[in-house]
Amino acid sequence: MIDLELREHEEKKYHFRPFSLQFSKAHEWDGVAKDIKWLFPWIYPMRKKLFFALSFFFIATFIRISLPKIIAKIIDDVLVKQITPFTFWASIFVGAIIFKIIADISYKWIVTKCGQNITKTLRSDVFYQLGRFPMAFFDQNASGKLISRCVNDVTNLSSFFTANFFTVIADFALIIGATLFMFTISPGAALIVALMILPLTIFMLNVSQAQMRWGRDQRNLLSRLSSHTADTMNNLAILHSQDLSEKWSERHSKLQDIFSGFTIRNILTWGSFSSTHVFIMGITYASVITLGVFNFQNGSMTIGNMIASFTYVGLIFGPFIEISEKLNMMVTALGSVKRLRGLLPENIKQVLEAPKDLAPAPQGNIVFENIFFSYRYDTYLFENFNLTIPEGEVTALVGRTGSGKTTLAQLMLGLYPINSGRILWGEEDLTSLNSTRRARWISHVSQDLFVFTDTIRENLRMWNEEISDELIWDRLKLVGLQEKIASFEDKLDMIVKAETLPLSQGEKQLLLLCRALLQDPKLLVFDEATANLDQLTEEEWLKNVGLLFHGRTTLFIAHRIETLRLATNIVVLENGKILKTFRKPKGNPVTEQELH
Amino acid sequence: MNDQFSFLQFLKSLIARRKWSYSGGIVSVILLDAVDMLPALLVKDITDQVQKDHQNFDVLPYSFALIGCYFLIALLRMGWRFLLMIPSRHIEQELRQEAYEKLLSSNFIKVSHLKTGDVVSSLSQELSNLRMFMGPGILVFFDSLAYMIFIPITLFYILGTAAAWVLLPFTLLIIVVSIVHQPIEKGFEAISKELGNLSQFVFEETQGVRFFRTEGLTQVRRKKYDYLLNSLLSKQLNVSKWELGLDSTLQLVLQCGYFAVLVLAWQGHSSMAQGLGALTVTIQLLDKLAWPLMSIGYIMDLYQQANNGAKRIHQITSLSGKKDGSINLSDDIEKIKLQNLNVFAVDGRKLLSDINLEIKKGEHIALVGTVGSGKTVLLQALAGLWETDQIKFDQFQFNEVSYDQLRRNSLLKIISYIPQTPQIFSRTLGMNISPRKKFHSKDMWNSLEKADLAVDVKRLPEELSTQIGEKGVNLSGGQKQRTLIARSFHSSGKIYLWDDAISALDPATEKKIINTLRTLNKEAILVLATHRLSSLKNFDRIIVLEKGRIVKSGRFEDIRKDHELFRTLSQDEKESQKPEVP
Repeated sequence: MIDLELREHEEKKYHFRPFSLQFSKAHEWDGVAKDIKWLFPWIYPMRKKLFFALSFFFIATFIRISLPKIIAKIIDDVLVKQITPFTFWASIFVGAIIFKIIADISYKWIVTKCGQNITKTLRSDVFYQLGRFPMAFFDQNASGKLISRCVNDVTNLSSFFTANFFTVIADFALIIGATLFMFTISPGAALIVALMILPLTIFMLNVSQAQMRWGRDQRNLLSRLSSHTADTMNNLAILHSQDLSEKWSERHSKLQDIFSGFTIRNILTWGSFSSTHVFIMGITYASVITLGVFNFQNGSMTIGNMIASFTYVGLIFGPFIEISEKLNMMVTALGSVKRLRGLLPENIKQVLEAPKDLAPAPQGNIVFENIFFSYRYDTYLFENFNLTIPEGEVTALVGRTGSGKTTLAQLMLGLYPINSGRILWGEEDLTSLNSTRRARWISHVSQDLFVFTDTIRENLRMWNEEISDELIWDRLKLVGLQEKIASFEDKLDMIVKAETLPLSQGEKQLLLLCRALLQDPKLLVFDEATANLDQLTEEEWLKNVGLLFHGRTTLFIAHRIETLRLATNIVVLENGKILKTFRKPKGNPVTEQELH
Repeated sequence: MNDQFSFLQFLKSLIARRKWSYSGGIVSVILLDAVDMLPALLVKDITDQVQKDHQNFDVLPYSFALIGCYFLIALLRMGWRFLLMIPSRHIEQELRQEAYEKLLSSNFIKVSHLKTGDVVSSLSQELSNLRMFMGPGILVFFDSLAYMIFIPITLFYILGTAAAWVLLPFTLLIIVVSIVHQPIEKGFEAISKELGNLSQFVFEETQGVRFFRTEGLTQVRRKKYDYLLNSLLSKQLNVSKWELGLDSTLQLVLQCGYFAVLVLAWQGHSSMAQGLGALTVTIQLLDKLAWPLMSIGYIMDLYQQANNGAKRIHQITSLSGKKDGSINLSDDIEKIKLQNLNVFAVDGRKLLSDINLEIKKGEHIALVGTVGSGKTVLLQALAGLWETDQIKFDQFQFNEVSYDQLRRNSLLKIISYIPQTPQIFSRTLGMNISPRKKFHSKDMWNSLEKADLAVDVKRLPEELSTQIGEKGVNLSGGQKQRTLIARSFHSSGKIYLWDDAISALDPATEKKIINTLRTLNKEAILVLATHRLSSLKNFDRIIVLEKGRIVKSGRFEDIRKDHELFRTLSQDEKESQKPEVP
């Protein structure tokens, strides 16, 4: 019952005091400077545009602040004293308004566009970085985590770049600018305002921080409630047949109580701020009005300026609520920056890959020479391992789970770096083959039946435009899938996803055989998995696989005895060592006795 | 479910729970908006008075009145927070609890038809949408409504018919909001769809990383990803355009309003004759009018979402409950008797037909049959999971107590049921084995031994306290089944109902576990559904089910010869035991 201890624990940690300086100690803001510095390389290319945006922003804000002053002028000079014609000031007013709207649109549009572009580059870079991580990285990180980095965190960040960030700055600028303008009209009133907004600002920062914390706890508890519900649904039969309802309901209700504790505290804190805000504004307003009227009465202020000073109070107090809402978003964005920094240590330059290398495949045997390999530092899976896979023949690899079969295949494919030793393909080092040649001449048919979201055509030819539709249909006919695919409405254009592919497991396996046939590799790494082949007869299976193996250097991980008939070499692995090897003339199956 | 769901009816019933609170909250919102007009009128008066009579005007009473107004506003704000926001949270909480308890107390069969994902989202997202409407939605609705009434009235009071000129530009805003609302909403939907595509793409990348790397597709994948990013970007910019357009219209409308007032003042309109007050105040009031107009779209969205949410929640809260009897079952079970038992699915299909069966204390029975033959349903019925409105029988008795008069809890206490799909709580292993009470480690290890799980548990990082299911340790299919078996041993019931509980175990382990079960529970009733023939040989009785009927029953030898099913079963068995390469 770890969950239920949370309440006390959290309460001890955080006491909300509206007028203390506790917000300055919030660790949410730690390392902000570094985080922003980290972002700099992405922002830098946009500097010119952002400079324009900033200029427009200042113009817009300046006009917004000076509008009450213009109205004051109109009141004083046109309406009261009648010394200037209305058209003069009216055209200034209209001009200012038009200018302001244009400046507003311009800066917001530029900022939004820059922000979205920066976000796009960042997303692209994160994805690029994923491609550079070693395989081990994917073994250690759950895909959900990586998705949230690539998608959610960057989305949070984009709120930081887009208008929101400027809204907060604009609001601050408005508060400060309006106070300064007020100072030129009535220093006394400006002083009153400054005195009043100081505590309100502290209150606001504390509220933002409290909301952040409680908001986080709230989300946390809500997700716990959700997993409790999911758990309930997943264990329904047990709960209904074991008389556990009461206990489970009680737990749900306890979690809810804690949850509601946070939400209600959140509502009340926010409420107290909002009410205090209104009340302080009221007092300030009344004081400024009183002062304004006194000033007007003793002749030190015109009526227009008096009215303007009233308007400024509204301008100054308006943005507080908005700022405190937006601060939360900024802090969330900063949290995302921290997480992204973990993934992308510094700005990276995307390098375009070298042009296609059309050199032919290396010729000769595959030779494993003194291989040392371990996934972790402590124990070697392969220690001084040696093996030769003869050219143009089929070598079968058999052995228990964990004997190292799959690892051996993955080393050949260059998925993991070897600790020492080398794998030769004829004269060339297999692991340092460049990626286009490796992709062209080596094919891997794995047991996980991987299909990506795209058309059937692209799934088969893997975006290699040189492969024509005729060739695809021809190969489909060879593996016996032609009719099935032709029966789909969109035929090769049908878009498939792993989970929506309307093929049985066996047919899927045939599809992937077809993919490998189209690639026409010289070296084939083949992982046969029995589970997927239920619907295929042995004959069909042997025919198709035989077709694929024919004339290629093949390493295949065998699970079924029948398929061993295709092999001329059989290697039995155990714990990373070769237990036994057999060499047979073609077509002569190895018997079961021989294997044991 | 087939009855018409009325959202308004549902809302009414929710509000009825907190009638006073809601009416108080709404009154305070309206009152607040009314009070909010006062400062404007006061300021107008101040400006007019001070202009008219320079020296003799005393501003202080007005100032105190202003402070009073704002104090009242502050109070009323706190008021509606108490009276609207907090109740909306309470309603959310009550509904969540109510719905949750329904999951456990309603007809099992109906609840198990619900999808987990749907239930979870109903109790979190959908419910929170409903709450947003019940709290902020209702608040904003009445707030906007009140402002949209009070502000024009005040303006007409101050300016007379000239107010029409000032308000005219706002019709433009209403038009623009109604035009722009749809594309913005659609744009956001498109964006979230694009984000979904991105997630799917990254997911695929992590799943297929080996494939993409070995086939040299990394570069192509990057291009595809960039293509998706561009498409997302264009959708985002599209929405930004609309939003910016709306924002600019708002500004334009406000400024037009200002300008109209200035022109009125310049022309010496009659309303301005008293002084400049009208001008000052009109600008303030116009500022306040913008927001309610902008929030029309927001309220419409909330209403729609709440409507959908309420439908989903209603589906859960309207589930029928269990009918419980009043007669307690004694702990000692002598026999179970079924006569002409028929079980019907939710859609009316017959799942079991005319089952006649009598099981005595100490009898060990195996159920066999193909998929869909009714083994699971029969076990569920024996486990008390079916409601009387879905089963018909001449007799269905535990000892002498008929099923419809039985207090269900007393039955549950003596039953030890293992469902077909292994169900594991994502909590500690110990809790999974002893969900009802706190466990003593020694007993627990005993049960683990019996289920052949002790060795596996010793390998876990925190043994019995290891969190399973969530991150960290995942159990294999066989380990999950053995966990359930350990739970069953630990519960020490009088009736053991195991539904294919041993399918993932190897034959040797299976044999061992069944032997342990049988020798330890000579006095108990055992009913096991299974696929494997080898484990049937020693059972007292084997019952063969086919399409919901009992087609054969007897000892192993009796059935083996003449029943076709057995031949196919033994065929299967042979196949599955085909030697694999080591």
